[in-house]
Formats: sequence, C-alpha cells, structure tokens
Amino acid sequence: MFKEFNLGEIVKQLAKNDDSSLEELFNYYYPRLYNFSKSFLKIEEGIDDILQEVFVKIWQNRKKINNSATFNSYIFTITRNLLLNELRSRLNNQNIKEEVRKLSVAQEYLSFNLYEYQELKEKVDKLINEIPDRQKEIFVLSRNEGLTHKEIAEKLGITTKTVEYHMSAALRFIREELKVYGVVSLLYFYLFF
Amino acid sequence: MKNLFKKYYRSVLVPGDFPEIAAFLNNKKNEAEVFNLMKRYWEKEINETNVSSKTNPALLERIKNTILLDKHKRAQRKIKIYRWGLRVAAVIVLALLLCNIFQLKRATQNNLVETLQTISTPYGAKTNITLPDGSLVWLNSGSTLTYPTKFISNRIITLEGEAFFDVEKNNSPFIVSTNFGDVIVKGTSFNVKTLASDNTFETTLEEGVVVFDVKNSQNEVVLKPGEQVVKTSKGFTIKNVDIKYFTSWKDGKLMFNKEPFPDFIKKLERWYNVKIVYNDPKLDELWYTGTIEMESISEVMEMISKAAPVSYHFNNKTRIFTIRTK
Repeated sequence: MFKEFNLGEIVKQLAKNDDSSLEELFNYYYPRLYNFSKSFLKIEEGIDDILQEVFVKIWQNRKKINNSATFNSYIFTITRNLLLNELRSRLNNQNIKEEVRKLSVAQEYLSFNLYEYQELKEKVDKLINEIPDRQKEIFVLSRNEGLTHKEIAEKLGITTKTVEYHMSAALRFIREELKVYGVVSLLYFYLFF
Repeated sequence: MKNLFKKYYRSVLVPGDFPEIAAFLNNKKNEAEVFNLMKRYWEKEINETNVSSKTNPALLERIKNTILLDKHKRAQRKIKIYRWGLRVAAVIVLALLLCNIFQLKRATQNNLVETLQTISTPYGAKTNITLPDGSLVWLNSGSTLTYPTKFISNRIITLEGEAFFDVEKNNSPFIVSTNFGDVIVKGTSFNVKTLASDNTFETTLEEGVVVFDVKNSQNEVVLKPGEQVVKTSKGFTIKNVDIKYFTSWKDGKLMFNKEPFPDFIKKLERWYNVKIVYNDPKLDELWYTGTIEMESISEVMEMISKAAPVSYHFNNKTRIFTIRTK
C-alpha cells in the first residue's frame, strides 16, 4: 500500500521518454486529482476527460520539467486552468448550474426544493440548538467552518468514525424535524387560502 | 469569500449562499483570487497520504494512445518540414544548374572549334547514344563512334564497327564516314557495318534514302528501303535483303538466315566476347538459320553441337572454345 513515491526521480525518468514513469505519476496523482476536481466541479462526469488532458500535457512538456518543484507548479497550473474554465462554462448553462447548486448545498437542505431558504435556515439553526452539545459542536465545525470529518477528528482529538457517527445522528434528527415542518407548513397553507 | 469558497468546496453551503459564490467563480476578474483559493485545497489533496486507491486503467490506456497519436502527428510535421526543406534545396540546385548551363553555353558559343567525342563498346556489350541533333545510335559490340559534341554545319560522324542509326530529319545532311566511303542521308534509319580489319562493309536501309559515296572514286550508290550495299571482292553490289536479319541486334536479338558458318562464328565472337576456333575447313560449308535472344554462349554451343556433327570444348585458361568435327 505504501509504495515509495520519489517524484524527483520519476520526473527525471519522464524527461527520458520513460512510459513507465508516466504510469507511476498516473497511479499517484489520478485519485488525488480526481478528488480535487470532484470537490471543485461537483459533477463527476467529464472529470476523466480533463485529467486525460492534464496527463497528455505533462507528457508533451516533459522536457521542460526538470525537477519536482517545477512539476508541482506545472501540474497545478494546468489542472486549475482546465477546471476553472470548465466550471465557468457550466455555470453559464442554467440546467447544469442548478445541478452544481444542488451538489454544493449542505445535505440537510437537499430534500427540499424550497426557495424560501431564509425561513428554512432559521428553522435549521433552531434545530441545531436542540441537538446534544457534542453533536452540535461537530455539526457546526462541519457546516460553519467547512471542515472535513478528518479535520474535525484531529481538532477534537477523536476518531473519524466518531465524527461520522455524530454527524449522521445530527443530520437524521434535523431531517426528520424538517419533514414534519414541511408537512405542517403545507397544511397551514391549505387552511388559509 | 474565503469561507464561502470553503463551504462550496466542502459542499456545505446554505442554499442562499450559492448565487454569491457562483457569481464570484464565474467572473473572470476574480481568476487570480480563485486560483489562490484553489491552491490551499490542492496542497491538501495532493499531499494526502491516505487516499482511496482509485485507479482507472482505461483512462491510462486512453492517455497512452493519445500520446502515441501525438507522436505520429509530430513525426509527420517533421517530415513535412523536411519535405519543404527538400523543395527549397531542389530550387537552389536547379538555379545553380541553370547558372552553369548558361555559362557553359557562353563558353561553347565562344569556342567554335568542334570538340570530338568518342564512344567505344567492348566485345560482348552494346550501347545506345543520342547525338547532339537528337539522332539515335545503337552501337554494337566492338565498335567505335566519333562525333562532335555540337554539330555546326554538317553532321559528320565516323564509325568503325557496326551501328544502327535513326536519324533526325534536318536540313544539313547526316554523314557516316567510314574507311570504305561516306554514307550520306537526310532523315532515315539504317544499319552500317564497317570492319576495316575484315575488309567488310555493308549498309542496310530500313526507311528513307541513303547515298553511299565510295571512297577514292566517283561512284555513288543510292539505296532504297530494304536494299543493302555490300563490299565484295569485285567492288560494291546492291541486293535486296530481309532487313530484320541485319538490324535485330539492336533489340538484343541475333537473327540468322542461312548465315555461312564463318560469319556466324564471327558474330558470336563479337556478341559474347569469346574466341571460337575450328580447324576443319569442311565446317565452312555449313550455314546456320535461327535466332539467339537470351541464350548463354554455352547454350548456343550446345545448340550448334546438336545441329551439326561437331563437339566443342572450352579451355578455362585460354578462354577459347574449340569446335571439332566428330
């Protein structure tokens, strides 16, 4: 699992037209680039095409890449340019933009297609205060600070598993409560109009 | 914005925040700022040690294929550049060549003295030449042709041996000068055989008109197509012949029609560049009819030994064929 990854050596081999070094680079970078691209673009479709372009460009410019530092800045430059261009063109398409919106919004708002989110947000904030302190602490770190489960675990000195347990418990509670709220508000609507 | 981007990146946005971050990301002016925000998460993602061992062999294969295709395209581009370079080189060479030709032309124009060119063929070999006026000459084996590199007034060439001429029509007469006299023509094709050593001379006309001007005499012989003038012990005589037996050599064929054995042997000697001896005078009375095209000399000798009651022997050291009667 823990294979020695010596970037400097691989980059040197790459400049010598070594196909196998490209494969090593791919094996190391592909999952990492994929995660990064997915977080940034939200939609998984099309990521492989972008990453293909990244690796082909690296191969084409292998002679100019002579150490790991230039490699690092080079791969970042290509990837970020391709990703931002792609995201911009997607945001200009209303359907895709809506897709991106859904995927970038926190889970607790997912099952609601309501646009009165201000009202919804107030309700969620209220519900957060009803959950136990530990759960609340973890949930706030995730939602307000944008920390990953791993980051929260490190920060609180607990395991990632514990974080995940508390997060799902908090989410379940909020969702259930919101469902009731959604139904109630609909009833309310029908009674008065 | 930093916090908003973070929430976007981690997918924990509050629905109302999406329009703001989307507008921010979509604005080209913010590009540098977006890149900076991305950089932080990039560092984290790339240096992450514990990632899923997600892999994609199909994509790797696709990347390798694209690279291969790209290599081909580059190679083709190189070839294109190379071809272009070749074209440039060709133009330069052509220009230099033209310069040379012009200089050469000026040089030859200044020099009215005829320079003579001599071409000889060894025994067993033939050649063909295009003369400066465009006339074609097939030179048989063991022959020598001398001609000027440029015809000025007359077209005079000298011949010793055998040649077939296909003369380009022209106002100035074409003259083949031999030891036995001059063969004068305009535009025509004919065969001349002139062997001073053998005291042999014959000119055979294929088409057109030929005038033979006998040396050291007032006599003139005019030939019509299909006629041949031959030197005999008494002088020159004209006879009708089947011209193919006299001109077929230029096409790589030796054709014989009731050819006396001594003449037949002589032709073989020239054709194959060999020496053939026989000492039985009875053989002189034989004659030979047939065609030799692709046969080797051994095959020909084999044929002779079958057609006539003779045997042959080849001496490796002297390289002489000896024919004996059985």
